[in-house]
This record gives sequence, structure tokens and C-alpha cells, in this order.
Amino acid sequence: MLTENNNIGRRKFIGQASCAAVGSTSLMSMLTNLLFTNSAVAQNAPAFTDYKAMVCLFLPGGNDSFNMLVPMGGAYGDYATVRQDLALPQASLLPITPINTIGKQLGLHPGMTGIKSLFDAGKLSFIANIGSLVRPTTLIDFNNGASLPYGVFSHSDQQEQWQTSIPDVRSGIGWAGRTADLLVGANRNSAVSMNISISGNNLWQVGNKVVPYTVNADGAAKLNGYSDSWGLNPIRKAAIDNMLAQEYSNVLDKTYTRMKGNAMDAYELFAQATSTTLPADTLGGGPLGNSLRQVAKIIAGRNTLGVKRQIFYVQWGGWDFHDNVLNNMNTMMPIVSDAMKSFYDLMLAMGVANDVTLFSASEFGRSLTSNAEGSDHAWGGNQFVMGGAVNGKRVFGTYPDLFSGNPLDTGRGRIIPTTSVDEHSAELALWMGVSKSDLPLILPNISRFYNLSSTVNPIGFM
Amino acid sequence: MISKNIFSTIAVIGVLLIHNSRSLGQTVSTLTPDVISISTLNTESYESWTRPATIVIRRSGGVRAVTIPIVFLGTATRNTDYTTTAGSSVTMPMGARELFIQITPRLDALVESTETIQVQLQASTAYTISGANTTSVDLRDASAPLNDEEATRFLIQAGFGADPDELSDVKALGFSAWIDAQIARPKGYLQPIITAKAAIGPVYHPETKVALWTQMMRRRYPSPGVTVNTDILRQRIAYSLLQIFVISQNVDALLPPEGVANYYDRLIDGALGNFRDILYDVTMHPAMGIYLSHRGNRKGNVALNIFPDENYAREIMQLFSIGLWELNNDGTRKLSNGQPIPTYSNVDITNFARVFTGLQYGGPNNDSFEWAGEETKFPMKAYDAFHDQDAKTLLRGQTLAAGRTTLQDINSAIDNLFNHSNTGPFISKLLIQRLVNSNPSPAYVDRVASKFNNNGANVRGDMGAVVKAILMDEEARNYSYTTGVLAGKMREPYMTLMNMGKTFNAQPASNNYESATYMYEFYLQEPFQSPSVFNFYKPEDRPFGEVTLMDKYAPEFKILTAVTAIESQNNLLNSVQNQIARWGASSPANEMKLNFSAELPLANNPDALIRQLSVRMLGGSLQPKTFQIVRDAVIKIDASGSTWQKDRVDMAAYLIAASTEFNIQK
Repeated sequence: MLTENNNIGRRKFIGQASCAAVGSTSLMSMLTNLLFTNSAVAQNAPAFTDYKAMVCLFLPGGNDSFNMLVPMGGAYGDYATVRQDLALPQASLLPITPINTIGKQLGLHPGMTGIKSLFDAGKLSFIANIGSLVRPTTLIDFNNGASLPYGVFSHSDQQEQWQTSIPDVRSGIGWAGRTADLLVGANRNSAVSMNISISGNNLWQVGNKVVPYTVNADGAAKLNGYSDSWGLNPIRKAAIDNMLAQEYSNVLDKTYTRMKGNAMDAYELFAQATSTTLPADTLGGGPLGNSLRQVAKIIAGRNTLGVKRQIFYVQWGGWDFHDNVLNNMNTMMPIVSDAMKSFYDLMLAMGVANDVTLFSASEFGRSLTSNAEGSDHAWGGNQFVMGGAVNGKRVFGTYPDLFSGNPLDTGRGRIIPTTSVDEHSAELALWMGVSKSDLPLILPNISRFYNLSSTVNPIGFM
Repeated sequence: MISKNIFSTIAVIGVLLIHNSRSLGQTVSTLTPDVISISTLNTESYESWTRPATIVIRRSGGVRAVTIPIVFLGTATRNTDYTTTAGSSVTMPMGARELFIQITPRLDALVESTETIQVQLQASTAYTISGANTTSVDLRDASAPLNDEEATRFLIQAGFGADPDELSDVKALGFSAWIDAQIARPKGYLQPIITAKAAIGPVYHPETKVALWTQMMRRRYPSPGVTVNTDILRQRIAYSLLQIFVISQNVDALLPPEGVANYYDRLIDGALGNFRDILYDVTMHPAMGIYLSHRGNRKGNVALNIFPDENYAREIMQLFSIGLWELNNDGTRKLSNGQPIPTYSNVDITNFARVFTGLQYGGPNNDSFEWAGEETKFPMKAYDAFHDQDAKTLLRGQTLAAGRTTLQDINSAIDNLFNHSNTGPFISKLLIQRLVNSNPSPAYVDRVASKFNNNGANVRGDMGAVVKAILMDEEARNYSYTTGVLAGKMREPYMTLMNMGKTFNAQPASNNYESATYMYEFYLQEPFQSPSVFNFYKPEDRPFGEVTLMDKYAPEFKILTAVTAIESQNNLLNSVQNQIARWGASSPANEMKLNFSAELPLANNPDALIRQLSVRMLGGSLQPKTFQIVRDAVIKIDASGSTWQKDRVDMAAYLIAASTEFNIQK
């Protein structure tokens, strides 16, 4: 019960409420509060005993990823011919030897030593020529304009499509959001959303019910002038607590008050959960490393947060190099590579390397042909996926021929993807615990690419 | 003397129980005698706006239940001019520190001068009275000039907040004449602001949102002899239309500032003009042509079986005119065998996609479809050689013969949508949601849509008539519509700051608003920053919980997240204490500071201070309990030292801005 001079914080108060330590009216409203805290709690929510997290590393602007994963040997000639001044010297590439047969010798951008070591250790794989597709698409289809993503080659549309995995309809809802809608029951007692963004609002994590929780590299949004004990803060805090404890009959008033209270509860819980000291406090890769360090802090706090599934969004850089693409990538690829290596090492040190899978994404690859020192918007590109659970040291999908006028070339070396974002999303969703029969709920077009009765995964990297 | 609504006859005695643990500390000595005082939370009450006035009796000292005899005095007559359920005495319950007496004015047909309602405490051995034993509320007749509360509330709906210049205009003219005067005012365009900047140096895309902030914030008389932006209503409608006809610079900067400003000015043109012109101007504008990719869209190639881009064709129907489902005039869905009826099919989309072919950048320097240079300040040009000139079928079977020009086809398609029976209710409901409430009754939508269909002079699409119908409707104007469980809407997050800036005249000394930028991260809302063509929120968005369970809507809640709920409040704290730009201004002259000069002299009178802020910030609708919470905080700041007046005003303004009542506008 409330006692004299007992300056109870909102968080503690709720803790007591759940122990039925308050009167019945308050208890009812508290239960309602908790019920609504994590949006919907599915009736038949999956009860996971293990922990898994998926991290999206989004490289906005369109990474020129045919200079990230590059043909060597017999295929280098086509590459050098089509790319002209954008071709990396063969001698500079870091050759890789995948376990699987891919029909081409490949190498990595010279700045990717960290990623190469992860690949060699079997902790990272590539997916070749992936992009948003409405259905499997040929050059004839493309020329016919049959079932193309809307706004193909456009930043805003193709970013949206990577994030929604529905390239033929605008939905405003991301596939990680729909995944979380489905899995939210796994975190039923947490005040913090399953979906956490380190890089601001994004479509990918927005669900029908789940709202992403957004923090930055330094942590969550804190209410200023509230929790400190000096000056006028205690006066302000008492007033705000009292205002949030008011009851309203109007449902908009009621909902607003509850949601703001929940935000403050989430902050308190989040701040407490992420206050742990990490085995390594500095990650390679500058600001990207700082963002990933925040991801690591949240993962370290998973038990305090009371979560079994988490989905993170990290965005870094601007990759739209219509000019000076070689120099820019020489600067940026090592940053990505160093960040990946140190993040994986940190996950290993934290004992969660097998529970955390990170994947790269970018709205499109870039034109193979040069516009003189730069490349333009295109379609298919190469991505990587990293983690202890990944079938590592492989290149999945089909690495395309790059010569000008090849059967996937829509012109200027804009390559039609041969693996769909849908398959990629499905593979990750299945790993996160979405059942195969539920896949169409989050990926309505999946059966165009994948037989749901198949006994193997869509791509095979997990 | 006929009661205007069913709520007005019910007066309530509200009792505020102890609302935090600290006050129990006062209970130690039962020997302390009770000291009571009386005050009012409203100095005025109105026949035209029948919000109950609240009298407060406060007690310090004891905790026992105490009975307090009272007498109603004044020139107003109880049960004739007002009602209250308070009898000849009221009882302060055990432990309570205050009780409220609510007095509800009654609308009558008499023309009377202002009357007074007084409540007088009577002496008793149970307590001593501190201060005056009487408090007074003025009761203003329905014939009295418009009051601050209603005028403020109106300007929150129809403008960007209760800016003092506009407030005096609204009060002088009354709502209807003010709207008419606004429609007649010259248009305040956005593009000149950008063009002026472009004359000095390169203009980058954040400048567009700064320019719009400037446009909305600028006072009528920024400096002597200069008059700008007297068309505040048109500005507000254009701002709302931008949330329907969305273009955005959010993902990348592909939309150039001058072109975006030019696009916005087409919304300014149409805001109080005709809806058909909006549809046409938006369709022809290169900024939209870039955003939804119909610029450079060319006719299909039969031999190669190539089809035109369908992007704009879909969105002009789904988002800009008729929506997905056949509607009744009241906005409810028509049903066939219990199922909603789609307004269009994929075949219709392909037909409309063929209409929107052959458009390319226009302007004086372009005359080639293939080689047009980017030009976003002029409408797109039609190039008939690239237009699909085969026959087409529009909605409801309207056919277009083969061989027509691009502009003939586009005009016919726009007429086809403009004249569709969905367009009135669809657009009317969207605008009501932006201005007045999230869940308008079907009857309200019907009344407004009827004005869309015919303004009374056989003109369809008259936006001035539509806007007037929205704002003058009883559902927008009568107090009774503010008290229901679904009343109101969440004040747009970005608008909370805009409202504060307007109300408290946050004009920089330099009249340069350059630091008004990067607000998206606090609000997930800022002009030209929508994450997609679906706007920041969709009309059918709603938060989980009661609103969803009731199958109702509350779009703005979509962007009330764990971040915005806190960061928007942080931004308000910063605005109140320092200045509006969170990251500071480049010079002191550019700082946008809220001007509390009318509030600082009230710092030693907390009731007067909070009353005034409540009127200015939310039309006086602060709930009595919240009033008390704010008052408790204010009086805890000692009236000593050099900053106490500012500290008290800041505390009150911040807490009111953080209140649920401020954020849910009714």
C-alpha cells in the first residue's frame, strides 16, 4: 500500500500492482495496462524457451555490391569489360573458397578482411543477385512489363519493397512488423517492443499491431527534467506521475494517457536492462560499431526485458554513389567489415553467437556500366548473412553472368534478381520461429517462389 | 430557457481524493484546525458554450470530513440561468484537500447582459476561512461577443493555434464571417520564400520544411509596414491537403525544394478553391510526377507487349479521390450481399494508367519527351506522340474514343473521378479527421459531403463551402459533442509545437525561422517528410485497445510511440524553458522563444496563471483535477530568488502541454 513519504517510481508501482498489492479498481486498470503494453497478445502465442534475435543492417542508397562480391579467374574478363573504370583490379580482391559449388571463382572487396575471416570460419555466407520480385522474372517478362515491382530502380519504392517484401502493393507494413505481430506472445510480459530500431523509424519493423521501439546508439529516449533529484525535477515528476494516474472516460484520453505511461515504463525497464557492462565496450566500425554495441547491450539485457525474440534495425551510410564510387567504397567497406567482425566476436563472448543472425540489405544493386566514376540505380545485388546459426562459407543463389547483353541484363547492366527478397525473408522468419503454414501471413507472395510443403528451406543459409 | 443539450442539466460535484502519498504527511496532527478557501477555475461561463464552470473549495490542515455551508449569490438566477447539484452545503470528505462545485449555464432565448454567479462560504466552528469568502463567475449571454475559449478552440481547428492577431479577428467577426473573410484574402504562397533563398545560394531539401514552418508561423506584421499570410485558414487547409496529396522528401532528396514549394502552392490554390482544380494540378505537377512515377510514363508497345506504369493510376483513385470502396454519401460503405463493393478493378487501373501517359517536364526550355531537363516549377507538358491514344474505358462505363489528345484524356479521367459519388464523402471525411474529430458521425459526413456535391449554387467541389460546412457544423461547434467517449482527436504531434509557437508568438527577432528543422525525429511528423504516399498515418489507423475494440479510429496515434511520446514532451520542455529549436539557433536573433509576458505577472496568483494558460492553450478545457495537479506543482516553487516567476510559468505551461487534455483536442 502507499505509505507516507513513499516516493514510488512508476515502474515499481506497476511491479507492486502485478503482485495484487493495490485495491481492486487500480488492479483492474493495471492489468488492462499490462495487457495493452505489448500490443496484442495472441491467444495461441508460441512459447519459446530459447532466445533468438535477427538484426537487419540496411545500407541505404543502393550498395554497388557487384564490387563487394566480385568474379575472378575466368569470369573476371566479363566483369572488367562491363565495369570499365569501376572494375577493381583482380590482384586486389580477397579470393574466397566457398564450400558449395557456384560455377565461378569469386573474391571480396579488398577492404573486407574482417568479413573474409568470418566467411572462412564458416560464420558468414553471401546471397548472390537478390532483389525484390513480384514473381520469378525473365528478361522477356521485364520487357513485357509483366508483374514488375512498382517503381523498380527507385530508391523510395525499392527500399519500401525490401522492407515490406510485397513489391506489387503498397502496404505501409513491414515484414518484420508482421513477423512480430505473429510472435509477439513470446515476449508477452515485456513493456518493450519486440522490434527495436537503433536508426529511427522504418517501414520494416512496423506491424499491424507492433510498434517499433526506437533508441539511438546511446540508448532510449529519456524524459528530461523528470527523474533527476535536483532543482525542480521532483516537483515536475510528481505532477507528471499524478497526471498519468488520472482516469478518463473518453477512450482517446484513456489511450493517450496509457500509451504515454507505457512509454515511460518502457524507458525505465529499458534503461535498467541495458545498463550491463559488455565484454567489449568498443566495437570496430565507428558509428556503425556504436549502433551495434547498443544492439549488444539490449541483447545482454534480454532476461531483464523478459524477451525471447528480438528484431533489430540498424542503418548505416549513404550508398548512392552516382559518382566517385570506388573511393567511397574503399572507405566504407572496411567500416562495415570491421563492425561485422567485432560484433560477431562480441556475440561469441556473450555466448549468443548462435542465437543472433545479422543480414545485410540495400534497396538495389547498381548498374554494372559506368557513368564515369559512378553507377546508377539498378535491381539485383549481393548481400551477406552472419551468425553462428548460418550455414557459413557458402554463396547462395546464382551468381549471374555480368557481360553486357546477358539474359538477365535489362540494359546498362541492370540485372534481374534471381533470388527474391521473399525467399530471404521467409528463411529468416522460419528461423525466428514462424511456422511454415503461417508464412503467407507475413509474406503473401511467398508461394510464387517457394513450395510451402517443401522439406528444405527456401534458400538454405539458415 | 430550453436546455441546449442533455448534458447541460447535469451538474456534478466532483471530489478530488488525495492523489499522492505526500499529502498523508499532513495528517499527523489532528489538532490543526481546518483552513478553507474558495476560488474558481473558470472566471467565465457561456450560454453559447455550456462547459460547466468549476468552483473549488480547498482545505489545508485537518483531514476529517467537514460540512461547509454555502450560499449562491449574484445576479444570475439558479435553475433559470444555471444549474448546479450543490445544495446549501457541501461536504469535504475525509482526507480530501479540495472539492469541486460545477455550475452549468443554461441557454435561453433571452437577450441579457452579463450576469454573475457567486458562491459564498458560510462561517462555521469547524474551520476558519482564509482569504475572500466569495468567488464569482461571469455568465455571458448567447448574444455576447465571441469569447476567448471558443475562439481559441476554433483556431486550433481552423488555423495553427490561437495566435493573438487572429484571435482578435475571430472574436470581432464571429466564425462564419471570419471564414468568409479568409476565403476572400490573398493567397500566401510558399515558393517565393524558397526562390528568395535560391537567389542567395544553393537551396537544399530541408529548406522546404523550414519555409513551410515560416509560412505557417509568420505573424501578420513581421515588421512595420510588412503584411504577410493573412489567409491562415487557407494555409491550414493546404497543410491538411498535403496529408492527402502526399509528396515527400523523406527517403531521398529527389524532389527539389522549389518544385516542392511550387507543388504546395497548387494546394494553396485549391484549398479554398475547387477540388477539381486540385486533382488536375496535382496530376500535372512534376513533383507528383516524380514521386509517383507518371512523369515520363509512355504508351505501351503492342509489339513488345509493354504496358504503362500503373503507380499514379492506382493512387489517384485509392488515396486522392474515391478510395477503395463504394460509399454512401455519409461515408459508410455500400454493401452488396453484406459485402463492401470495390470502387475499381485491375482493369480500371490499366485503363487509367494508359490515360496518364505522355507527360514530361514542361517549362520554357523543354520540348522533347525523350530529352527533357528536370523542371519542377512548371506543370508537366503533354506529348501526344507518347500518349496512348487507343480507346479507354473509365469508371462506371464511361468510354474515351481513340485518337484523343493527352490532355483530353486526362481531363476526362479527372472529371470521371471528380464526379464520382464517392469523392464528396471520401474527401469530406478525411478533412474532418484532420480538423475536427477522428470519428465523425455519418450525419456529419453527409452534411459536409452534400456541400461538396452542391454548394447551394449548383457548384460541385467548392472547397470553401466544404471547409465552412466542416467548421460550422454543430458537431464541430457545440459543447455537447466534446463530452462523449469518442469525442475529439489527437492533436497532431507536429501541431502541438506549431500551436505553442503561434499562441505565444515565438517570432525570432530576425524574422528568420531557419532553425525550425529536424523535428521529424521528435514527432514522426513534419511537412514533406512522410515515410510514404500513405502519409504519417492512414484514416483507418487505430491504436490497440478500446478504440479498436469499439471498431473506431484514431489515426494520429499511429505516430505516438515510446520515442515520440517522450521526445515530443522533451521538445516542449525545451521550447517552454529555452526556445523552440531543440539544437539551438545560429544566432540569438534567430531564436524562437515563447513569449510569456502576459503570464509572468500572474506568477503570484497560480489560479489566474493556470486559468489563462488553459484558455490560451486549449480553450479552457483543462480538467479540474489536472488544474489542481498543475497548481500543486506551481505553488511548490517558492516565491523567492530571481527566477521564480519564470519557473512557475514554465512549470505550468509545460505541464499543461504534457496533459492529456492538451494532446487530445476536443
